[in-house]
Amino acid sequence: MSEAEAIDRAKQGDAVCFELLYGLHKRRVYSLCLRMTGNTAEAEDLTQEAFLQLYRKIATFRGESAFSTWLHRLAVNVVLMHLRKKGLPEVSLEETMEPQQEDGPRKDIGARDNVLAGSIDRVNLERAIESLPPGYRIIFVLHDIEGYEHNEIAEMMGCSIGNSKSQLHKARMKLRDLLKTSRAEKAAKR
Amino acid sequence: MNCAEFQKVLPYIIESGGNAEEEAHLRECDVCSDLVQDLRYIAEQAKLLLPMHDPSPKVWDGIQENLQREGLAKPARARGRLLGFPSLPSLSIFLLLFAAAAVGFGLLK
Repeated sequence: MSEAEAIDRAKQGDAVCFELLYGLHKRRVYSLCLRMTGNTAEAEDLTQEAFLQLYRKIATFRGESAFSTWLHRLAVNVVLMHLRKKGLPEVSLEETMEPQQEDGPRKDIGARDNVLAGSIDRVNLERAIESLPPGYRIIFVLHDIEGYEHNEIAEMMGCSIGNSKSQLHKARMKLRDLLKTSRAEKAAKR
Repeated sequence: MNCAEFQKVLPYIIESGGNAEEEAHLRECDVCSDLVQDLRYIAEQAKLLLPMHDPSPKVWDGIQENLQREGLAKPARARGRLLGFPSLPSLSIFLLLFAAAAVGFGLLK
């Protein structure tokens, strides 16, 4: 059975086809939730909530975008709603493009170090992303991993495009620091 | 242009490239050049990250329980099945009984 057929049948309440769709998309949805929250238990709860919403809303899927894109957006909204309820900082609406004292790019001025190229593996990067502050992590995951544009992120998060760009830049700067620290620690152990 | 001025506009440069003055600074300054190279490298590596994790089976169990509670799906006959298909053990038992009956019928005949 093709995915399109499974979607059509799931729209009519066919639970077996819904289970099939769950099997096809659970990994991507769960990975998204896990990367955005950095917490396994929360990610599982949110994956469950995303698929429950899918079951309730699948009849409204009109095929204007790919099903995976539509489901992905639904899952992102579930996570963002959860984070809002929790009161976690996403993106400060007042934030400007001015670099902050504690994590702005100025600290790099005059300090040459080896470039990262070739030294990052997947595990290190995943770990570094996990340890980003929530606001930075969400923007980084949405833009650099999931491929959303700044205008889409701004719309989803209710912030300006400039703000989204600023947060992304700070997230990458923070990641650079984390990855360099991790590399230095590894080198020291050898 | 100095490093501080360059790094102030760096978020824009990374996105859409810099003007002539910014590009000139990038060519001349190793520190800023390394920084831009690192940030681009991080973004490239992030794009290569694939969904690697599967949720535990309890997520699907939770979905089933919720759908049943809301009356959106019929109660499952066996753990792990929503509805529709029989579970694997019950199917095996049915096939065994069917085979035994067929053999028995063949012997009687």
